Amino acid sequence: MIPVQIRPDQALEELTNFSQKLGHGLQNLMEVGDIPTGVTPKEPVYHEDKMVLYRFQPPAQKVQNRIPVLIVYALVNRPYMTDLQENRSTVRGLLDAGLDVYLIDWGYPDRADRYVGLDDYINGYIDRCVDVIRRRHDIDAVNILGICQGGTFSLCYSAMHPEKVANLVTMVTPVDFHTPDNMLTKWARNIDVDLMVDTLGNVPGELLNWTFLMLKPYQLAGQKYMNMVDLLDNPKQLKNFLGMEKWIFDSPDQTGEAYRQFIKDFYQGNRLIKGGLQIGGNDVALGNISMPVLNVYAMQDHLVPPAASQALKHYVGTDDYTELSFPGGHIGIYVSSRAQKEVPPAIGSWLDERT
Amino acid sequence: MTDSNPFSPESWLDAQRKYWDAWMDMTRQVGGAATASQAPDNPWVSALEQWWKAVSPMAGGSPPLLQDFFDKLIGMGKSYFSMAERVAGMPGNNQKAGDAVSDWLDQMRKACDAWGASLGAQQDPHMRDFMSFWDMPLDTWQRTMSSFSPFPGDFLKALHPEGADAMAGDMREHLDRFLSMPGVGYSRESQEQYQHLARLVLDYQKAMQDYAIALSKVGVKSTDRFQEKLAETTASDGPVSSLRAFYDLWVDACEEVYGDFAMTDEYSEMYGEMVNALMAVKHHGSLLVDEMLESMNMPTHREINTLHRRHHETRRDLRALRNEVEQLRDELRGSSTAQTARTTRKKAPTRKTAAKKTTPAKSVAPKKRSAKKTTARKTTQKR
Repeated sequence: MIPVQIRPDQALEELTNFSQKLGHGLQNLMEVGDIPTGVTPKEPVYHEDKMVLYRFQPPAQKVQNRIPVLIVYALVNRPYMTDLQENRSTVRGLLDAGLDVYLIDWGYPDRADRYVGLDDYINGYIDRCVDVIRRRHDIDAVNILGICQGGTFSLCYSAMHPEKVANLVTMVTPVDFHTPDNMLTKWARNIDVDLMVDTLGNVPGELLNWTFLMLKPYQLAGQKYMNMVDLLDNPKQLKNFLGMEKWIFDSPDQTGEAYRQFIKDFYQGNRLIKGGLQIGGNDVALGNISMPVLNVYAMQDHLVPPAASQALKHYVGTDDYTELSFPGGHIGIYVSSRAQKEVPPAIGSWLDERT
Repeated sequence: MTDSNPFSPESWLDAQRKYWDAWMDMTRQVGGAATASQAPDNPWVSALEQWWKAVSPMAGGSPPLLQDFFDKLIGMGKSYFSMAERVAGMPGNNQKAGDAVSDWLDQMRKACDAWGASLGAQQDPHMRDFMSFWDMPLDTWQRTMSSFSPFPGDFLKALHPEGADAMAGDMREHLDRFLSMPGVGYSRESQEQYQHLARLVLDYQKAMQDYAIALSKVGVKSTDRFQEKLAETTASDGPVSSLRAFYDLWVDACEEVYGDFAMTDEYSEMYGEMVNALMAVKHHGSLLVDEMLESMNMPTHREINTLHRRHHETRRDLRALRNEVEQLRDELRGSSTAQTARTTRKKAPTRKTAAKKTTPAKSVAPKKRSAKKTTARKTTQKR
């Protein structure tokens, strides 16, 4: 059988449709307006350098869990991924689940921040944000929800300050950086990180973008836009797509020292589980994590493979450990409609049971 | 569709329809003897370019994100049109359609080889638009590199007219020897520094060529994988009957082959070499710039780094002192906050204490799973 049977008239029609959509799509693009970066009302409650701690405005009628939850996002990309649109907002879901939600926005580091390291982020900024929340609510410990690299930071923080963390939730968080399916680790293995940081100072966000695109270059830099042409005549879908596009390429630079330590100790050395990890002169041992832990991971995650997250169960010191798997990808776990229905309510219930 | 839209593509669509009609007439007349390669430049691509040239100034006021986004759409559109003409460019019976695909795949293989050998400099113009698809990883790398480098992204293209083979062999050896000659005279140090820079640039060039050549081999493998997938699809779902399905299958094949290769040690080494070589060039370049700045009595990169580091250390010291003062104040005040804090401190170990209490064995050895631990799937199923 001939494997390809495309009639010329059919090909012509396809190309014509494609061209029409492209042409008319430009008009829609011009009218799309501003792309929001975070939709749920929030107020800044503490700031330091470029970091801002926000508290989201809770819905009036909801009963609040008395222990607030602090979202610790990654340094890579911006935290508004958790609050992208009204109907695609993990934050909104957590508020609806009755939680009092705080979030750390790391801001955009510049060259003057190049010596800000993991100790400054974890034992500095995060710790002071936790203290601010503890004082505001007159409590000893807060709930922490760490996302991706922010989840790794949260694990380190909880291991070093277990007295200040009531419950820990990690989402799509790498723990074992050397699982065989981790492409980023393979790539990081032969990078001379010292040379890179000594040369660049801060590591440009563009370089990270390139790295993430290269995980699936033909889909992410090509096919995605072909698929988008089909949506160009739908203003709502177009806006959704552009919101995501804006987030993907909104990549702050990484402070040099934090990047150096993260790549060397985590990606190259896998010290979080192998042992020997020190942050600010303090040993970081996951065995010190004595509070309840909920580990949420995405089953089709190409950035943080499920196995990299699941490893956590072997190392934490707590007996109250729960996993929640979600059938989706690294981003889908925040923005898909199924995720909106399943993930924040599950986190809310899990926290309620332990408060 | 409406024509109130100032960006309407109707006129160039008409032109394309006319071209297509003429093309079909011609191929009928010559009994299918004509091939796509005999056609003039792809009119769909040309028309798309002309249209974009005409309307992009009107879109000039739009936010950069939108312009960038539409540029990407146009780029992909050109690749798509190019592929479409090659694949569907032989109207007629099924056998000819099959021939067109085989012909296209052969040309893809050749283009991949040529692309690897020349970093894309000597492409068949008919394949150029579609090969931009395969050029994506390297092209994106060059764009990325430009954004944080004093060099334009394609600065090496002008440096290798001899091609990769020459640079990998004798030519490179001669250049290395030439660049290793000791400097003489008053400016010998300066000479040596620039010789070193030239060597680093050549190293980077070599690393990039190796990367490009490896990707071109992946390109060739992708055509084989594509043929396999085409056969599988035909066997299970029948022949591919739309351009879009053809394109999607091609992307899947490319992604699979690339994904396999990107997980190998070979790729990891090449990737590392490319990044490290670029960093070495940039690092040495910074040193040279610093020397120049110093000679003009201007602040250098090194000096600013020193200031940043000292400033950072001072802030950390200041922060530690401030924390200590706050603690002392709390204790003096005897406030309820201080009481709570003291109670908390008694309850839980401090960071240092906690660290000490953890035995290395416990921290590294996998923990025995407790009966209380549950797994996710169970959680999910319950809901």
